[in-house]
Amino acid sequence: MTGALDGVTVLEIGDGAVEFTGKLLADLGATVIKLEPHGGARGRTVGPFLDGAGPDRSLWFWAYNANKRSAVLDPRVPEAADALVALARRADVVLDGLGPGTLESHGVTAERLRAANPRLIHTTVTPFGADGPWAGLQGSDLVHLALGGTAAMSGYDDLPGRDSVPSAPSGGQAAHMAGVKTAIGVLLALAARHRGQGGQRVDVAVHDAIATSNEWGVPFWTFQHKEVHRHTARHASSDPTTRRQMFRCRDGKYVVALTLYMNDSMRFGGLVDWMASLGLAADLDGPAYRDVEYRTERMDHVVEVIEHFCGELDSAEVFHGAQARRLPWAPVNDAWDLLSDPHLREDRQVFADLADEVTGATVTYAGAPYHLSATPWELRTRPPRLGEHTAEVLADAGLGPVHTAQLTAQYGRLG
Amino acid sequence: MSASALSGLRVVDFSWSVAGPTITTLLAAAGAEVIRVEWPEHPDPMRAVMWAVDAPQTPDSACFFNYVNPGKKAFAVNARNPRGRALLESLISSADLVVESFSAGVMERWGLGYGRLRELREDIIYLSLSGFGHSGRYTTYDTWGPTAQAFNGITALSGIPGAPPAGWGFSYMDLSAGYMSTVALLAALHHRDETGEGQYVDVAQVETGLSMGGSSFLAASVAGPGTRPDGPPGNRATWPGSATSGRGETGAPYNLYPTRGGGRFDHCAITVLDDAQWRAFVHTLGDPDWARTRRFGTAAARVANQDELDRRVAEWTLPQDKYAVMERLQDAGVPAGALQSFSEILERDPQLDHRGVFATAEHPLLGERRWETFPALLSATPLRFHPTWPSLGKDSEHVLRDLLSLGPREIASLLDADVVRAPERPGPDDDAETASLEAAAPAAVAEVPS
Repeated sequence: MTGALDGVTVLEIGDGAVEFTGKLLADLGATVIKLEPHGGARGRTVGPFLDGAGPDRSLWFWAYNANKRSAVLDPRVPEAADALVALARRADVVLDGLGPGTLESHGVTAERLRAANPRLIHTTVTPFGADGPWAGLQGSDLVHLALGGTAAMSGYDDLPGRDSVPSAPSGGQAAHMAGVKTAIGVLLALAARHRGQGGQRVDVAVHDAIATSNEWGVPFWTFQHKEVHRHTARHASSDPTTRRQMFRCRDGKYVVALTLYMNDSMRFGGLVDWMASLGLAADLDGPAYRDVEYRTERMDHVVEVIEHFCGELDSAEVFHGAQARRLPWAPVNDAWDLLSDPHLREDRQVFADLADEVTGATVTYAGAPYHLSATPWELRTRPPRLGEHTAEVLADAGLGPVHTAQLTAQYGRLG
Repeated sequence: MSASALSGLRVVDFSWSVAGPTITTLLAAAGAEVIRVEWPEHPDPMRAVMWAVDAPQTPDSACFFNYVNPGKKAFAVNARNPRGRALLESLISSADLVVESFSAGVMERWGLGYGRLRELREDIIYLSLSGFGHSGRYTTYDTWGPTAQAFNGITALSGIPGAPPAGWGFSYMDLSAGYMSTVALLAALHHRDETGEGQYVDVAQVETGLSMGGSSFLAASVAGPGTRPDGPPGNRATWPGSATSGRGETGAPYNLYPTRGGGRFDHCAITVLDDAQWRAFVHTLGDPDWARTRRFGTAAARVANQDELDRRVAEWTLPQDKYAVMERLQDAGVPAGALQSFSEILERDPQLDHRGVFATAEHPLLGERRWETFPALLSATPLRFHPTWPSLGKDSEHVLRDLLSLGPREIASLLDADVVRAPERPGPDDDAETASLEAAAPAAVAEVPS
């Protein structure tokens, strides 16, 4: 099948956000060449590993690097920097995540890249930007989630003895938010190029990307002049709230039971009939609770009854029963739950298996995040071994055999 | 004035709430003409929530609605009315992209499924964003942000070990579904630019988050029994009791540490990722004896003993201001960052200010406020914050007159028949009779919540 970005060539240099950007583009059909230093990209050192540590066994690396090609080409080496410019001549996009000024310090300046290829979309992703008072600061996932507001929004209001503990969500979200916004910037530059622009610079700072990824956080300050209060598993808000919405079910799993439709008599009535059919409606099936104002004033009690009700049922019963009554409730799943969910696995086929011929393992990846009817998202090739494509990448760039042999002998290894 | 990336593109926008409008706001900032379709009898639910403390409470002054919808035109038309649908069909014939975020099946019921759209405009790109997707056994199930992120594993990634999940204090999946959808839409546009072929893009909100869990599926698919994590991973780089990273980074200390003041924002993130940073960290602390023990001699030892390490670090941070901790460590090359509140993000952060991330603009009903811009800076075709907001029906007459080329008689007839609404009717017979929606809104200043 053809991908939407067939024919687009991307050079990806660096970790974190550019790695996610490269993945988004590669999975839509772009040819993404990952340029790695001699020891490999940082992600190759991050666990979990398949059968022991090693650059070709990191599942973290695999999650972000299928569909890519790997060439060992470290721009700290002068010949490699020249080779990088030669590759950029034939590329559409450079994704530079090495940090402010790093490529420049090795002689790969923006001017040199533009001279080599005026149609190049030269993209830099830095922690804080190339200039400004914080330009030189070091970032990390947790540092960005703290400085950018996400950790200020998330946490607990009911952990005994630990009032209002902040929680910076895990999973690598700073890279995801910066990476997806960078991908949008790159695609907009491609669209501009089609509409008569040449190449251009795309500049993304991870800090900016996180500070604009907090939904109501900034509005609470700019419109209400109030700071947020964190709440366990529900929206932070400008005032403390008590309407809890995450409850533990009989099977030990939690469900998120949104109460936002409790003012809708059809939905509330459906819920109460359901509870009553199991003898768990408490006093909610009395006539008084049919009155919207009456029950709104007693919502803390309604929530207590819902909590007790959830505790008497398994999470799957709560999920399907609630959704059948048009209540948008869902279980709190983890990866294990999702891998066995029939809607995702069978109906939507959102997981993709790739075999690894060295270890013999077949590993399951997150599959299509979107379904494009003419140009489907596709996982085509397993993640590359370190330097697997060095020789062919250099040859494709028109670098002569001597040049190639020198570089690979010194700094790379042949697949 | 420099060019825009998407100039000349027309988007018909049926989306509402948060995820869908996130897509189309971005398209508008990039220069597309976005026409928001909305019927006041079924308004966007965001028009009824979040009020400013010092502005009237009307559908056009709901704060978050305005925050996520700048730069769009507003066309108030009844899609359930056959004449309204005919107008929409001619508008779609002239459009490049159609975006909607209704529950599955709504557009089909209006006769505006992809098949019909393609008859109207063969190369149309139609993006449909729903909760669980347009096929499969949960098609009829609904999501809001908190539902989607509970279901798709994102909620479980947040929280302190040993406690229930803390989840997210906002609808992360509304934002990320919006951004991921934009990637799909712009990729489809690239394909159309190259080949002339349009397509249908089916996005399920829950599915857009599946690739945002790090290595979770890979690990789960090959894991042996007993390796399933029990509870949330915490603020550290690695899951409790293992070297498995939850953040693509490893090392210790790595946590949010309490700082002077003891308030809910008095914390500082400190993350030591390698040996050089550890040496710089220890030096900054004044080379204390405990840091020289074997228990903290290697990265692996520091990770293994991080309960004790975190207690030591917290003793050091507790008497200090969070920005002082950040500055001292950053001066030494150690990644550290204050847990910033939103007043600090808007009014103290010098870097966001330097990069102009939050624009200042005056809204007709809300006054001068700060507005988020899209943080990808394109040198030749910059995205722009357009200080206009889609008050109900604001551009209805413009759409009918200038985009659909209808004459005054036809326009008046559509308004009279209540197929289309406009805030003001400068028509010949009754311009005094039809009040503007804005003027009709209650003028009382909202009570300040206690």
